[in-house]
Amino acid sequence: MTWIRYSEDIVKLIALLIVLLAVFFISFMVGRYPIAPNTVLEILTAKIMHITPFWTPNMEIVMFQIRLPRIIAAMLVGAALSAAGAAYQGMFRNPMVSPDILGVTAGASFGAAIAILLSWPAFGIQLSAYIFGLIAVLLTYGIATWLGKRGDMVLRMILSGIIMGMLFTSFVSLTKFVADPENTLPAITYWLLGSLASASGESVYITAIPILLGLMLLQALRWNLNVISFGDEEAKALGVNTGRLRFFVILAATLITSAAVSISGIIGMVGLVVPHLSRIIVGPNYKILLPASAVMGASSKLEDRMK
Amino acid sequence: MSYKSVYRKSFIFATLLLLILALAGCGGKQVARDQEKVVITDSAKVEIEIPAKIERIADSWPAHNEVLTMLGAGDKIKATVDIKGGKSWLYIVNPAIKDAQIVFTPNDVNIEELMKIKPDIVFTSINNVVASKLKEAGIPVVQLFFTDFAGLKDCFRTTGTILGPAAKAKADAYIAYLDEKIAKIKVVTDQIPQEQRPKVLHINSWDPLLIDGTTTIIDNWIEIAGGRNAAVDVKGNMKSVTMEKVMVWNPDVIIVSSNALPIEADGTRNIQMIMDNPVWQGIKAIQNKKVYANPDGAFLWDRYGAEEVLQIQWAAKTLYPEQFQDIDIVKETRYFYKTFMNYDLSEAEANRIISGKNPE
Repeated sequence: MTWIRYSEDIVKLIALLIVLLAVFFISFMVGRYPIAPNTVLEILTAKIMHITPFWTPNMEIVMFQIRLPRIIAAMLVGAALSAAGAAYQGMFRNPMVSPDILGVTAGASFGAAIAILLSWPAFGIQLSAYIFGLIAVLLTYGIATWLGKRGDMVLRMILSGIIMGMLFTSFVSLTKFVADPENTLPAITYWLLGSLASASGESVYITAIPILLGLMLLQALRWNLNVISFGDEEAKALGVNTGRLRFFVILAATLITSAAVSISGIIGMVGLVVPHLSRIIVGPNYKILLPASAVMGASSKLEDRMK
Repeated sequence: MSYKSVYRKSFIFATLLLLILALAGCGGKQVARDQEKVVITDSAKVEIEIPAKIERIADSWPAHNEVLTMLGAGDKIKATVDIKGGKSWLYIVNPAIKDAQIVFTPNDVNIEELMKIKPDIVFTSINNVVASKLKEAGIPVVQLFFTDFAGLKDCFRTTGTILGPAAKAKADAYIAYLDEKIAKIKVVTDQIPQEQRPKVLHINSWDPLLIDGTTTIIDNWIEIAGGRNAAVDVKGNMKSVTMEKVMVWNPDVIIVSSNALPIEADGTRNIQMIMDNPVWQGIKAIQNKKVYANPDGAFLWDRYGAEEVLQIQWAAKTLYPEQFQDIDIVKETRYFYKTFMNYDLSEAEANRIISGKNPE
């Protein structure tokens, strides 16, 4: 009886969403600037209803200009990396795969490093990281296709991804070598460490566009992911065009991973671990696994932010 | 080839290599013995044997390159560290440093390049990886550092002693001048009770946001100039802080290191970047328009160089313009450059330095 199974999944998803909502509110209360929890709640309600402010203007700045962009950034990044990780793990039929397997992180790092070296403004750094992330994956995909039709496409992609990753990582080292040790070098190093500290309002809202687009595309491909995780032959036998599917999954995952990395720097773990945790909770069916991963990824990054 | 013969060959090879290395080691020592030596103690409390006559110097500490220049050893610097891409005023005041090779990075040294230069002595700041590498290479390395004006005087005096009598006299003259200026400012600022002093935040880097805490020379000049360091609960130089922490401190005055600010087309330092930032609008210093770019001369005035003597005067006048009307920073700057740096600074140049601009 499928509808029972289905509704059980829905219940789990709603539970995860409630956790996310709770973490969302709690993370407004955490930070170096002391604001009492009930004040936080009242400042938030004041956005909907009229409450005479008894708090200082600085508290509002802290909440809406410092914490809110970071909270949204954390949720976006977490959801993006987890969903991309889940999709890749199925597509490559490999549990150890994470979203940066095709070299997107290394490419984005190089883009950011070169932009910092050229003293571009924050937005330029983000854009350059994004574009170089895309370029790296494009090169990986190109090489894997160019290598020919023989052998396993998955293996070719992973290998060329590793090569691209190494290539761009060495470009990053080269950039660091020529960087000015007084100001650009520390800036590059901090960027590579990965942090949401510099996420500001505008940069976050721009990043949201590719991430949400990519997430929607992945959502639309959910059942195809189920099919392809059985292997190419089986998928073809069931009438799925595996080449085209692979292209779209990679496109979506790259759009969102590159965008995530461009605001947060290198953040590991989430894209590898969260899909597995979600699999433990909701099972391997991508119809429910993909949204569950996104939601769990969002809460896990939020918890990270609270540290 | 059998396994045994490979083994034998590599054994012979290794023995030969060891022999060559041992011989090379002996040779080095014999040359070193010919020179006359003196023993000094550096800031790391290490006793070092150095040549009595110093002709070739390597200096990995940017601020200390300025000190050497002031003490008359500017043309003896043969190896140095990249100081702002050679665009700083140091290169105007001490053109000879253009010929010095850049062999140091902030945390490392190209040891082979350095050995080719054959320095008599290497200056470096304390706890540097460089120090241990150089000790292995047998080059005398003097580690220097300080966190307040008392330490600064010690450091300058030690450097003078190492360089010779003329340099020692110059260091003493500088210290007398510094003491006089500190005393003159403290007469006024010592009267100001702690709670009336403005909270001063010193920003070292904008993105990532780095500030200077206690036990730094920055903390010390803020105190002499009659302020109090806003970052009381942070210890050390260039510490990373969150924006929320800055809001908790809510400083009355913000002084930004000139190299943390972007350079505009006309050479000025862009303070507007902070003044217009929406997140910073809640800070008192921004509301009261008390954000200043720090002057930047032969070295950054705010950090560990000889121009700390100008920094205290500039900071005092910036914090208390009424009480320090008699301080003419342009005049003081030109006097300092003429007397101590042997450089005739024009009024226009002095003004560029004070507003944190690079040389034209």
